[in-house]
Amino acid sequence: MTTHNTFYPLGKKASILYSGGTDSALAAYLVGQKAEEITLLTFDPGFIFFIENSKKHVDLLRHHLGADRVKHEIIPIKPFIDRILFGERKQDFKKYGFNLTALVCLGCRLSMHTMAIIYNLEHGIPVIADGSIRKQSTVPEQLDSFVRRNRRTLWWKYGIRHFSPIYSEDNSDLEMDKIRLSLKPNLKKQFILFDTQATCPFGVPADVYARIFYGVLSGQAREVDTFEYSEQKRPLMEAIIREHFTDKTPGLDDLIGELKTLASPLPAKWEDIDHA
Amino acid sequence: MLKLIGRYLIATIMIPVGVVVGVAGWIQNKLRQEYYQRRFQEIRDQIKQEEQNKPS
Repeated sequence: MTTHNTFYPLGKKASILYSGGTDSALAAYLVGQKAEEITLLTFDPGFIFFIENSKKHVDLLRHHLGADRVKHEIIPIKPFIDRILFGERKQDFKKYGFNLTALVCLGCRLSMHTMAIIYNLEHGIPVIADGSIRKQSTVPEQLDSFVRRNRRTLWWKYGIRHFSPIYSEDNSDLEMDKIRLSLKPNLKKQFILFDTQATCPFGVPADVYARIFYGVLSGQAREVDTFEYSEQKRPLMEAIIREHFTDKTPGLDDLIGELKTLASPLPAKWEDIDHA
Repeated sequence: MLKLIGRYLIATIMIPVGVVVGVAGWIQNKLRQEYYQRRFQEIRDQIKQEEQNKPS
C-alpha cells in the first residue's frame, strides 16, 4: 500500500508522458518533487527522427531530483500506431477529410496513451502526468475538453489518476531557465529539428493546420472531430489493452483494482486539469 | 549551422504544404458547418450529463 505523506503527496510512483521538450521536462520536475520515484515514458511510433534527443534533459532531472529517483524508458509503439492511427485510414479520410492533417497527432497520442496504460498497470503506477499546455490547445490532443474528459473516461477507467500540472504555464522554457533545468535558453522558439526531443515529419504541416485553419476559422470542427475521433478509437485502445493482459496473472481487473486502491487517497479534482 | 539550414529548408517546403491543405480543409469545414454546429451542441449536452455522474 502506497504511503501518501506530506513529503511525497503523490505517493511512491508516478509516470510522465515525456517527449524531452521543455513542457514535459518541467512537468516531470514538478511531479518529481511530489512522488518518490518518477518514470519518464518516451514513445517511438516508428516514423520520428532523433528520439535519442529525449535523453538530454534526463541527466539534468536526475541531477536535481536524484539519479535513483528518475527512470527513463524509450518504448516502441509501432504495432499500436498501425492499428489505432493507420488501421482505419480509408474510413478516417472519408469522415474527417483534410482535418486528418491535425488529427494524425491525436491518433499518435492515443497510441501512446494505450501503451502508457499498459505500462502503468504492469508497474503499479497510479499517477500519470504530461506536459499539455493551454497555449497549445489549438492542437486536438491538448484541447481542454479532450484532456479533461479523458481523465475521467479513459485514465480513471484503468485506475490511473491523470493530470497536466503545467496546463496554465505559457513559458516552460523560462521557468526551466530559472531553476537551471534547461539545456539552453529559448528552446520553445525551435519549431523543427529540436535539440531536446524527436522530430516528427508530420509536425510542421499538422501545426500549421491546427493553429491557423482548425481553430476559429473552422468553427466547432476541431471540438467535434476531437470528440468523435477519440470515441471512435476507444474500442481499439481497449481491445489492445485487454489482449495484452489475456492469460496473464494477475488479470486486468485485479490490476485496475490495485491501482485504484493506490490512487484513492488523492482527493479527486476532476475539474482541475492541473491537479491529480 | 547545419541544423539551422535544415530547419529553414524543411519550413520552406512543409509550411506551404500546411497552408495549401489548410485552405482545402477550411473550405471543407465551411461546407460541413451545419453538421458541426448541431454535433457541438449534442456533445456539450453529453459531457454535461457525464460530469453530473462523476466517477467515484
